[in-house]
Amino acid sequence: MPAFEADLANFAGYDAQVVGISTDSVPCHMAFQKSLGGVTFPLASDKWPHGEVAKAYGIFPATAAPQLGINERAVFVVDKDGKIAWAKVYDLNEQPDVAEILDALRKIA
Amino acid sequence: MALKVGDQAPDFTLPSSTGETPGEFQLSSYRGKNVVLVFYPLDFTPV
Repeated sequence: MPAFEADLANFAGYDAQVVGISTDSVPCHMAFQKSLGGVTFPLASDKWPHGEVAKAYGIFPATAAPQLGINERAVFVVDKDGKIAWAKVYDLNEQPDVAEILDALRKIA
Repeated sequence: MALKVGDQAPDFTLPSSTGETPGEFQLSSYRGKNVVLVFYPLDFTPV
């Protein structure tokens, strides 16, 4: 998440809104944002029904650890018409490459 | 993975927090703008 915050101006340059999504609660998101020293993009809570949105995107539960009730780490770029323009599922501990996502946005700009 | 490039992104509305201010995030309200959905496993994890 800090990597996305650091590059937020670059995302805005491609007219892109960033949103983080996990199954954590809103109070948990607030505490997390505070711990990061402020996050200026929204964190959405897919807590109830648990993981329902992640299920709709085909990334719940995480295949490496289904017992944890968490979604995969994954990024979807949704274009201005609401269609998926780019998608990638990462290892749970892998940091998404922000440059690669910006590149995908450049291609649909 | 169930969804592919070119598919319509499933719309959703979820409670959210922005800079510790509670709100709501609805994907379809951003039509006309690109949206980057960053699914991550858990708050307070290192990456």
